[in-house]
Amino acid sequence: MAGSVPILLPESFGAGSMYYVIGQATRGMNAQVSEQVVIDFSRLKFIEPIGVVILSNLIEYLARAGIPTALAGVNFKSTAAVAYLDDSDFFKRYIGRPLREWARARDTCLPLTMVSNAQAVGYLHSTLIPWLAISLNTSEESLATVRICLDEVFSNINFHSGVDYGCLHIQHFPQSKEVQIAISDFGVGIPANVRKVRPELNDSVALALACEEGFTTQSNVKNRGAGLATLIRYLTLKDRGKVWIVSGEANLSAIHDNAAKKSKVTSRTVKGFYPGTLVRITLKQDSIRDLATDVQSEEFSW
Amino acid sequence: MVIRILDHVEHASSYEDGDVIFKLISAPISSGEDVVVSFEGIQAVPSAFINASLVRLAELTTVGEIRAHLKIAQSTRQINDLIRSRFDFLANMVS
Repeated sequence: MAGSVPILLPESFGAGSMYYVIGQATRGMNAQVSEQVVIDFSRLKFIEPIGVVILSNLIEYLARAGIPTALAGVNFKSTAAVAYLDDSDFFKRYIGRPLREWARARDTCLPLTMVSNAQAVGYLHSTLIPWLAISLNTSEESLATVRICLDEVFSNINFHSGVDYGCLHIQHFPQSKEVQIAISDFGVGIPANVRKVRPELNDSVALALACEEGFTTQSNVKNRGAGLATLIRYLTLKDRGKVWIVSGEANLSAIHDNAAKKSKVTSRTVKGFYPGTLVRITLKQDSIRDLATDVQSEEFSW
Repeated sequence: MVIRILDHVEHASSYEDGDVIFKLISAPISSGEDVVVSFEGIQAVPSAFINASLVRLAELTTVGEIRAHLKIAQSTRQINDLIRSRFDFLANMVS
């Protein structure tokens, strides 16, 4: 019998709790027992940047399946996490107005944004990179490699997800000197795409393969298998940041290996399912000077 | 023959942008003519652009022939690194 599925968000919502929340919402949907999902924010005290895009994608995903979402436990006296969501335009998007009259974008984050594949290049050039340059007190030119990395994520959505937009949220953490960029789609997912050509692979192996240079599903003539490898190389080969990719029943982390002076990529199977793909890019603020060297003129030689 | 990318596309950002350049250089490169591709005014490019504009040349001729006739001008470290890594990968595949 159809009914309302309540989901009580934990005190901290992010990497550690996302599978539980997504599982609660999608189990009811898959069993066709949900006529409404109620997300309760009353316990929520902290939300990671990825939590913002996951909640957004989840609501949009349920809506596409014809299941409305109600938001409970939110009011203008709510917790700092709810105020943060309010300042990130979350409630403006999902209940039609901010919770607080004084809600406004904070200097340290860009509001939640749905970026369509057609708009991605323009959004990166005219909104995200100019904002990031101001936040990090650097030039837009010096962040060209960051723009390229994000371009690769949006290309992946464009070519493989089966949906026409990604959800993006970005936050600067001045104290820990890093920027977190979260981009998510609730599309087909990377392992499912890889299995179109390698059906024998589990999600963890499939995700790792998709991040190797040269692997292509040839699902689209425009894809030639370098995007995710390029993203990982630019950020982790020289310790400029790290990448975490979540899709299906697997996730993959890419960091700089100080001892070996190269990227270290680890893929693992998880007890949970991510319907689509989540990419979290963590950019070290101290890497800005190094990033700027990428755009220096250099004579080409083979 | 010199092709300045920004004379032909607004951005060097997408597969479609790269395809415009590919159509200009594919015939000369495959017939053994020297072509200079100038990245003047461009700081960085994504893999989709390089795949569409340059990597597809390997469907028409050998990597050796491409290296012999394709010249890259007014580029940056990022652009050079991406072009080299894509062609090194292709060369390793066939060796």
